[in-house]
Amino acid sequence: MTALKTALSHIRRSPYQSTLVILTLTFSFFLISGFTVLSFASQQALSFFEGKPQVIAYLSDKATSEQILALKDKLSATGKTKEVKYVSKEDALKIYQEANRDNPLLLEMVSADILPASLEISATDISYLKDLADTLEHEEIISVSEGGKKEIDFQEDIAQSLRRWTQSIRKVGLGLEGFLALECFLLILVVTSMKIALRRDEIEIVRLLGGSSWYARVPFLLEGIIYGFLGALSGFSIMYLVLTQIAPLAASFLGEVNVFPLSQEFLLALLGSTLLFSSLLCGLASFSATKRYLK
Amino acid sequence: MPKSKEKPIIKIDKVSKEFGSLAVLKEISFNIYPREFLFLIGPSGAGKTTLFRLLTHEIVPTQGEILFDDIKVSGKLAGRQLCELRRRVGRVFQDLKLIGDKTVAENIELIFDILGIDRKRAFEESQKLLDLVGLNERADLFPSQLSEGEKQRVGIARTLVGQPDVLLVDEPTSNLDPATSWQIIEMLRDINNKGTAVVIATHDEDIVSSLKVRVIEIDKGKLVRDEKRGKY
Repeated sequence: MTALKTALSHIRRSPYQSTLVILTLTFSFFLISGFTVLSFASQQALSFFEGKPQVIAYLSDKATSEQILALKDKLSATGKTKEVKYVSKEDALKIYQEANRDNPLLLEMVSADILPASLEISATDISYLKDLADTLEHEEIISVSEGGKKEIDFQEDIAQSLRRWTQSIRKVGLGLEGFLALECFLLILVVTSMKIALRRDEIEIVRLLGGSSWYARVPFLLEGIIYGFLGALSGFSIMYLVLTQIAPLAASFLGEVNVFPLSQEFLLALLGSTLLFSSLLCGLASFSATKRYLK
Repeated sequence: MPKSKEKPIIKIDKVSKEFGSLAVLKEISFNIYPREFLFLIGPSGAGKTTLFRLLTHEIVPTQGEILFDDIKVSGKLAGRQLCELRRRVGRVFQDLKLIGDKTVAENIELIFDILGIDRKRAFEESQKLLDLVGLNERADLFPSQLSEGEKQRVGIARTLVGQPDVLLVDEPTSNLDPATSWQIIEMLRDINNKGTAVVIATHDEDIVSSLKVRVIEIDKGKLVRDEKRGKY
């Protein structure tokens, strides 16, 4: 308790230094938590696209139910599919009607006969899409367009591009987070070292009067942890405020991609882990300083 | 005075200390007994403060052995053993080493805190100590607001917190007028009468000669005199 009191008095007695440290940590943890949120959101968006059927193969009218079932089994046996769903002509009509319910003219013109049945396939991994499409290319029951091409819709580009973005965000985010964590570590290390140098006489007196090295160390350790905790808390709070402002805009921009608002569980977990990480990081930095300068 | 068969609390055996090529202490040997009151005299640079630093393991001897109770002070000491030594061998520094941004009471309470004594008891005990050194009314002042004599009293009070077996006092009267010097010496005599051995390093001829207690003289690093009832 006294060590905590001493740590708080160290912070109070150097207000400009303490404010600078907390502001710098706030900015760093704002960026760290912001990039974590961005990375999580892009992962959510990717999962959304990965969860949608990524290959739609339109079936020839001549395809029998045995042939369709055989193809379904063949695709499932590859182990590369998450789901293979048969959409009949009637199902296709329902989908069409749903999509065009505001346009009675279009609804009148279309009947189940002219719509093709199809197989909607989701892959376990986007990298399998090409293989699955190649398999379908060789199947006779897939309908052929007027240009002589098999009618296979294949959304590899969107998903691949999103995956690349997600991976890039994750890589850049991790790099930036590592850099910022290092910066925070060094900042606390330098500030604690300076404070130890300023209080060297007092520390020496404590040691000469029978105080243990831990007695001298603990207030500096607590000071580092307090800085880390406050910096992370304020950085996260600012990020949360920004998030509440941009989430509605982002949600309307993303449309059916259901990413925002982010779940409260995720945000709470992020807050907890950020506070824990920052306290440990800054505690470790101040411990390193005391280990180096309080021998 | 110690009885011949009494076990010494500190044994100093052929202790030498060199700083590079400079020999500060040369084969010093003597014992300090419980409840003893003695003066350590000698000119400036004779090695008195160096001896005190050796006794609290601030530095280690180049040669020889120092024993405090069963603790080998001249050996490698760390952690609890070092803390215990420094609590049981109290030292009042020549420059006092009071913490400037703490009040008199806080300077004393700091040691209670080091000892792990709770705040309430620390407050009560520090009031008793301030009573003992006559500084109750100065408890809330900072060291810079005290006279030299008052600072000396704070230094002594702070050292008494750990109830040391031995009190090493370095030049307690060097900056004081004669009357205040005697007050400090009387206070140290009282502390000694309560059972703490007191070793005073001093140049004060008048005080040493008047008290007629054990006097150990060091000159140029050598022990030149150890008298039971000595004069300066």
